[in-house]
Amino acid sequence: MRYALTWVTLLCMLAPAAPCAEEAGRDEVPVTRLKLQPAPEPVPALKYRLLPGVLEMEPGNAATLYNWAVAKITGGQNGNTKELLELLEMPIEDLTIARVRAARAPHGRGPLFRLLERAGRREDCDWDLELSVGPALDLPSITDQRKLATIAVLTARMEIVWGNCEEAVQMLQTPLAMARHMAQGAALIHGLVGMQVARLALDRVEDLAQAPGSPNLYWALTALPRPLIDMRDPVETERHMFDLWLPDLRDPESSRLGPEGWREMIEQFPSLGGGSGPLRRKLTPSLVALWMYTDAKNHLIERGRDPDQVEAMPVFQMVAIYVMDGWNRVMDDQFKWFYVPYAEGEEVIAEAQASFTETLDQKNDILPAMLMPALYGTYSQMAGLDRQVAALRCIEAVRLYAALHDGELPASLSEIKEVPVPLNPMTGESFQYEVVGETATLSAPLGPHERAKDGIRYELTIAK
Amino acid sequence: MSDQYDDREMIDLENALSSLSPAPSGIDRDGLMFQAGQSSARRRGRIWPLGAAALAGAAIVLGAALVARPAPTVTERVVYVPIERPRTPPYVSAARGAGTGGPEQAPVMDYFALRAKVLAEGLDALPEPQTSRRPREPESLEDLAPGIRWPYRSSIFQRNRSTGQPGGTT
Amino acid sequence: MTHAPTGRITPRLLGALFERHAAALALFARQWCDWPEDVVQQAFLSLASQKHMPERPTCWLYTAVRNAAVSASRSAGRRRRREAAVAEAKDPWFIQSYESRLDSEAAVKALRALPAEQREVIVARIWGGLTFEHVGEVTGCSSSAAHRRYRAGMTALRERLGIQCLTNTTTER
Repeated sequence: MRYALTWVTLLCMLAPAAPCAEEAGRDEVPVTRLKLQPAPEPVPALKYRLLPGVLEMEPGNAATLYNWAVAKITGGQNGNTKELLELLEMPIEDLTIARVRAARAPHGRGPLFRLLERAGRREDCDWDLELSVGPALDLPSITDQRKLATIAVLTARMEIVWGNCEEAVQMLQTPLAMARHMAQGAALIHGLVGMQVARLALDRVEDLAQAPGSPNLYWALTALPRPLIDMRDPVETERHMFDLWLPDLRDPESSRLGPEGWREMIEQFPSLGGGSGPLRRKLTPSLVALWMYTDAKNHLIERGRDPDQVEAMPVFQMVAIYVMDGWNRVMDDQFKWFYVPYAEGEEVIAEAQASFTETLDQKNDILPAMLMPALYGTYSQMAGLDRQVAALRCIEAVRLYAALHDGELPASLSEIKEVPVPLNPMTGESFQYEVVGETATLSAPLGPHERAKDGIRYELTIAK
Repeated sequence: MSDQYDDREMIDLENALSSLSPAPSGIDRDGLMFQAGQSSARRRGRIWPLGAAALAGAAIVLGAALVARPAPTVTERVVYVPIERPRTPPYVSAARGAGTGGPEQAPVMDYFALRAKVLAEGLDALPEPQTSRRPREPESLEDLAPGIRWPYRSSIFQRNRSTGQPGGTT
Repeated sequence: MTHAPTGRITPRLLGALFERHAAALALFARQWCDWPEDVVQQAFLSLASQKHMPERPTCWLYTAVRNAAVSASRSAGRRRRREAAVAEAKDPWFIQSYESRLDSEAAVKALRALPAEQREVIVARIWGGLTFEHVGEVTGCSSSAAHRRYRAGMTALRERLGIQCLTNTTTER
């Protein structure tokens, strides 16, 4: 009973989330000021890489080693995630070993980092999730993995503080590899953590761009795969979470469950409904079925089933077919947008999500009303990560130009001829670039539904 | 006889080979036991009844027969389905849970609810990991090392008889 | 070999199995893969997740390790074909100690030169302590076939290592 109440309470909180930023205000995009160290192209050009190369990869399951690493950070000895993130967010000139020690954060390339490094070189990553349990899916170590990845990024950052830039570049391979592993065959939350880890690791390129003697990472960034974090697996897992959990509902028409089997299945359920879906009140499953019975029968007959067959069908099965038809229709209607390239689909997917609840006008939309994940944020973040890579490539192109032109900023991005200057992948157009005095501003316009805090705006100067 | 000779040689070779000790496995025993404990706890947590987990389940019916069918009077009956309830540990929040670390204290939360929270609030909505919790202070020597008989005599103080070196094999 | 009691898998049992078998299991796995510790760790974790202790936990572990190691070897084989190079064993198979009556490197070289089906039987028997019946169970052959492979492999080893009838002592196994 306690669990049923908990579930019902949580259900009330569930609603298809409109894009968080929609009305979050068009606040100012945060500005990042960088004093760039000029640096020419490395020789050989691909001397530095931000992910392990194919010849460095080993067969095996990386998740085994990541889980092993989790066992190494038990006992509260290794800081907490919030403090670790603060150490990553503070300006690098304020980051000191004293602060790192105060946060009990590990640092240095010790056994823990080396284990993560080895994991990053594994070809596969099977998190072995128990997807068949549906909502009871336990993610026991995702928060630990997030913490481990944060530790890895911090370890690389400390090398930058100590002036070991080449070492730091090589160490960044580990959290970036871990970020990609997190999105492999996993649930949505894993992918979201992977994207955050990738962002935290890429932010270190900003640190490196300002560090004396730091190599130019233009080609290292260019060699990164696109998309950097492919959310296809996590999104498809979410689309089929329901099917994986209740196999009889995957194809209820073919199910061999008899009337008693269906009855037993639904008698376990807590109340359904409430919120913004087609059923405004909470009802027990039996009453929900009563509520939709006539529609279910008509739906099956309209689909071409013989009316006599429909009459003879167990009632619960009939309603299950009706509900699952609604589920598949609505889910595919929302998930299809995920596959559209961002520049083409941004407007449409945002609108589709914003108007989602208005489209729920049929009784068999009850499940999507409760369980549809808000996809726009994921879609936008995935594209945003690739935009971050492109913007950093622009910055490295500026460093390269400055190294060859006596420390001068290019007057425009088109003045840079030594390397191709990337376009903004979210718009398909150039980044905005403007020089005023000795400061250049590099920015990208916010998408109509994008949150200001996710935007980018750099103010670049050249260190003399 | 040749067989006897072969057998003697065989035994000799077996003894010679046996004198070689396999290199240590390289596995952290404590880490392995910790993970074994975790997966054991997960296995117990997986034994949820369909109903407890079936929050999202189709709105499948009980009692719809009374509407459309010329049925006899519907008798509502409660069917008790024997279901093995999980020994679900209490949820220990990071705020309250300091000092209660350990794999058996893993928080239990509906995945869909967690997903919605994370999508709405960001990854900071994830609970602080167990690994950030300090273990409780041991109350006795037994707590420090369960299963060890006290007073403890370390093997590093037992000299290897044949080599005179301290300690035994690793 | 006595059978371990069946029933719940307790930490004490698991720990005892680990202490007794982990190194030998890693050696067994090394025949196929370069990261035997992963394979062995996974086998122990799989054992820990069983509802009850198997009737012959040692056999169970060796079988699990063998299956996983062979599978890992196939994946590694695909990678090595890309590199067109044969990877050598990265870590030593044995530790050389004062008690060793053989040079460990020579032993490894001789073992690696054996056909796989002979080598695995020898490793499982000598360092794993399995009977021929259990070796057969692990490797998927009859106990008499296991015995035949064992003798053939040991004969080859004796020639390669130049083992003569060195001692007058016999040790009952």
